[in-house]
Amino acid sequence: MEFAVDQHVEQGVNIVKVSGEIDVFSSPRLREMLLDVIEKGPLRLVVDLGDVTFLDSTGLGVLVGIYHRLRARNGSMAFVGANERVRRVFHVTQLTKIFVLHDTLEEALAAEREDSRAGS
Amino acid sequence: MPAEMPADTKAAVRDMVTVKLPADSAYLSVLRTATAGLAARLDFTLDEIEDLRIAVDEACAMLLAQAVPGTDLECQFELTGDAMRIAVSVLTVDGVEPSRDTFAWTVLSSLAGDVDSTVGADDRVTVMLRKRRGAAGAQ
Repeated sequence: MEFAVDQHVEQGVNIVKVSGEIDVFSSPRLREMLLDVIEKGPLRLVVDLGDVTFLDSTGLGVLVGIYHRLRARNGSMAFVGANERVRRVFHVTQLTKIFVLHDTLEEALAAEREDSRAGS
Repeated sequence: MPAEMPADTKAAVRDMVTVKLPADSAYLSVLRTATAGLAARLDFTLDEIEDLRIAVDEACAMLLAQAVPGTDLECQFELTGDAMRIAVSVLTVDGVEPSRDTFAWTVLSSLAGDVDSTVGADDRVTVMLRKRRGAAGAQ
């Protein structure tokens, strides 16, 4: 599957769907695209990893970098649809302690609504 | 070569496979595919195959960061009956062993069994890993 990033806004949340393999080759493009997305859209970001077939530490580094940028601007970041193999990489790096991995987009959007209400 | 081998023959197998690619991240997916194919040949489980794919990717990614431009990345696979030993190496500019205080090393050492690195006299840096079929993986 070709590496690709699609973005749309739903219920005030920036939803980014990533497809393909995230590795040292594709990570710079992912970083560039995510920076562009959070520059132009809402700072509440949900990254859909449902079509990601491979994720390594380089990709995780990009996601952590974006997370820090969002946090600095009172934004948020969550994930949805990660398969077991992708989840494993989050687990071994203990990033599940700071990132929420939702099963469905509906669940992620509901959590965002809840956070938004709690923060307002 | 037959696709299936009798179990007693498989236990005695000790093949060496060397894959040499340009030290360029664009070729990493090729190496991951080769790794998966070789691991499948040793009857590793799907989870073990995926662990090896990620481990080799991590080893290569950390080496590519300091590879001399225009040189090759060499990956040597040693296949024995129930284990695979992999050595990935590149010629580097500074001859520095990969830092062990990184996400990459954490992932590598969690998913592969034994991991180590060395620096040769010509500033060739090598990352070695070994995974045994059926060994409990670190979580």
